[in-house]
Amino acid sequence: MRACKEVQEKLSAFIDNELPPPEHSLIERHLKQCQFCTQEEKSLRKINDLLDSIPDESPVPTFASTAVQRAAAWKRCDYVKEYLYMYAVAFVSLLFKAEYDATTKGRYPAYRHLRNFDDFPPESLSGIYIGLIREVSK
Amino acid sequence: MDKAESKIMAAVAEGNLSAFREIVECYQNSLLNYAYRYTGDKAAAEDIAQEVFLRVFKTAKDYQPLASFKTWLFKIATNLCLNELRDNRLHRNTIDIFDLNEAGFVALASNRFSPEKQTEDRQLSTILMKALNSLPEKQRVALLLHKYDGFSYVEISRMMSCSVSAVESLIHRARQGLKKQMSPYL
Repeated sequence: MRACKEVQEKLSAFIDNELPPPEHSLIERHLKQCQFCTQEEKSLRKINDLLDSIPDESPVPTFASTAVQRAAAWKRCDYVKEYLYMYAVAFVSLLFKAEYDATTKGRYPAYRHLRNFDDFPPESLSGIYIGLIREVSK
Repeated sequence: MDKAESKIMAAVAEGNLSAFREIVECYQNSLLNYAYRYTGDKAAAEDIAQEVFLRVFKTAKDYQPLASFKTWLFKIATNLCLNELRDNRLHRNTIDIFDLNEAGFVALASNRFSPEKQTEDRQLSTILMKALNSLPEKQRVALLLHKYDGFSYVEISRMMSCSVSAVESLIHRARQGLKKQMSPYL
């Protein structure tokens, strides 16, 4: 026969029919002989019955529509983000290409000779950017 | 929706909103009640349930038809519920000795003198909800998943990433905790 403490640890799983059949029948046999464990089993079953007394809540009638609307809004947002990303990548690539073309075609000196920010040709994008930064920080 | 669920989820992954609505309508009751019993607050439960469905829509592409859809859905819900508590965004209802005594007196009084059984039941449910909410979060999650959503100990262990014996112990301790708090009503 199992010790009561060991049986009581398994009582919840016994009530829930979650024990393997041999263990289940061992506990069943023990309960037939032990008043104390039977009492414990009864009180756990009562707790189970009490839990059944909590009534179900119903969702508001607009619940499903709201969920669908939120999903639709997210979907739109996702498309916009995707397109924005594509356009941003394309724009940055074009900028790099324009700078590269201007440098290789000799419209202004190659950047490898640059030593500081003042060396950027003023008509290049980098030169314009640095000029703007200076204007702002004045 | 067991057999059709992978087809529906495939449609959801492609952004099909009517397939998504089908899923929402099928699971809204169980999910809302799970969150409600977990939080004890209907407004918070609706927020959580909405967030779960939005996550389902966002991550539909990641859904593996090998796992049961319900298990996957409730795993998302469980993670959200646990995170909500950790972020302290939810007010946690803890049982108050004064509350319990006062409500206990009312319950006993109505038992003897008043025919309003419905009121009594409502009071008892409120006390029970408070007791449920005062349980440690993992015990509560395991008990709710088993008791109200019919998940087996094995499924719960997968959802909570722990062993079956840990689930067994969590559920047992949850019932013990409730028994202790609800002893005046047993």
